[in-house]
Amino acid sequence: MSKLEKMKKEYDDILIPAELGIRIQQEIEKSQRRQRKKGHSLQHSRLKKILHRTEAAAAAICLLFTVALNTNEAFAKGAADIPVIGELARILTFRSYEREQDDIGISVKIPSVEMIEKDTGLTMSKINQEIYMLCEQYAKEAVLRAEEYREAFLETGGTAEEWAEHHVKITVDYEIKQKNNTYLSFMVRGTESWTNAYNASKYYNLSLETGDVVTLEDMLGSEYIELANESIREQISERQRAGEPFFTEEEGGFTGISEDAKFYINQENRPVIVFDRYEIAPGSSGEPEFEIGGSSKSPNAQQSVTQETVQEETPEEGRNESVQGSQRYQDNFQVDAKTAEEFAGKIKEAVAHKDLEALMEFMAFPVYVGLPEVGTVETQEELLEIGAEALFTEGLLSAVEGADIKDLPPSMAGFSISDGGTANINFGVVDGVLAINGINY
Amino acid sequence: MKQIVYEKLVSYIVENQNRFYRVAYSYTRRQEDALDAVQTTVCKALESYEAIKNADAIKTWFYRILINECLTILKKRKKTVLLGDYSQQEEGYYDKDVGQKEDINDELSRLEPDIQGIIRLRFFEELTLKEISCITGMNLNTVKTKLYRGLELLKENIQEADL
Repeated sequence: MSKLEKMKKEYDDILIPAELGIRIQQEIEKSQRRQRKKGHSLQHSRLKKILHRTEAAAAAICLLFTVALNTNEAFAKGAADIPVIGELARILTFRSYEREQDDIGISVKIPSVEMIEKDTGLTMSKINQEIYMLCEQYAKEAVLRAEEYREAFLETGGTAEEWAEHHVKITVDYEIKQKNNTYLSFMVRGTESWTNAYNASKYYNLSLETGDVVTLEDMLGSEYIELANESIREQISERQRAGEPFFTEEEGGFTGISEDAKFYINQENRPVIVFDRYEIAPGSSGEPEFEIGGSSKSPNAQQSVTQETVQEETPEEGRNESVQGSQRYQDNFQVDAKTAEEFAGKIKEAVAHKDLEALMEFMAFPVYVGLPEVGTVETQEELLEIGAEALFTEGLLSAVEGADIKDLPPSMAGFSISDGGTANINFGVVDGVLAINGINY
Repeated sequence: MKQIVYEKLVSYIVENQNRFYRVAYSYTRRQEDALDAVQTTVCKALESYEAIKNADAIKTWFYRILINECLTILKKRKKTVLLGDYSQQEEGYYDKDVGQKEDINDELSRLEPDIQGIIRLRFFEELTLKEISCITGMNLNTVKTKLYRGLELLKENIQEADL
């Protein structure tokens, strides 16, 4: 070996102390506080992930959000589910759009889970809501980043044509990993074509028997962390022998999974733990995956769909959910007559029984109440203070009772339950679901 | 706009922290000093990121700060050593922590600081001559000349060392 080669080897062998990551994290946090003081909105979630990684691995390598690739029509069609008889659940492309702004391509497909037979109420709706918000949020932020990048590009002398040639593209998409009678497993991703730094991914695993989210603990038992670690270590050694590169522990490689390790469920109903790019191996290895259990592997060969106590949904909330199912709407015109009629029916019932508490569940706050000296009511408590007697006037009761709720015509303001007079109850789409937004007398 | 540079800088720092440490250790040969060098550099970089022209300049800009930091530490060390016990001077260049005797890297440390830097950046960090020129502020030809000189001094076969 030449002298230089020896020196290089010595150089490469320099041990990285664990303290390095800690110190760097400290500096970054300090800087973050300074930035905050200056009023710069630091995309907290990004930096939080960065910091989380530096904590988790002594010499953290990369914070990366994996991002999904929303590519083209064909993929989209393939991804959107075609319902099959006897199927328990579906994943629909709930919202999908493609647009362009300033030569920045944006393609978004947001999935939503629909349970066909089982009414799972809360869990599904919450999850769908979360997915929707995550995707939209990501897309929004990605567009902002792209615009900033574009600005910087143009400011430093780039031309608009050159920018267009970059073919900058933002994509949000999802991939179904497994769907059978027991499990539903899919992941949502967001990517930006010009940088890997902000890619993001989230995995969802649902049990179709309970309608609950499935955790690694559910699948592998209370010792799941040790089990998974063992299995992963074994597999890493195997792969290393076969020549695949992994970071060593000092380099920030695999030291163990965390409680919220990402995983999906594969065709064999086994959990597959996924690591982000650069998390435990160099970028060339992409996102390493490890199946835990499964054919040749050991314990918990039977996947036990252990049911932890399913939270009972409270009656009121349950009612609201069963009215809506897990449908989400953009505007009033999207709501079909039957759904509107159903919702109106529930309102009618509540009013007929002067059941204020029931009616409240259908309201979106703040809600307008046209009583003298009332106006906007901000919370349920306020409404309760006004009281059922005051709210359910004779005028309102008869107007609602006499209202025809078949084929309610939608308008920008919403649907109106009335008999033609001045008193009515107005409802429409608020945050994606139907809710009362006003009562007039 | 600066925001995007800031975030890229943070990413860059986290991703490459090991590299920085090795560079610092290569200069200072002491763990504590190397950690200090990197930490101070990160601190300075995050404080004055607004000086960076664009995201592409992050790398060379950061290395420059890092190397200057390392050189500062070495200068300080020399001064402290001189003020103190003269007999300490010789040992200053050895890695006390590990208690080693002369190693190959010491030969490198005996060269002019400029040349040392160029060799480290070129062969250990595998940076291009152009990048080195940006980092050190020397023009490209000067960099080349010093590089050759360094190799000569190390009595390295120039062909062997793939320039």
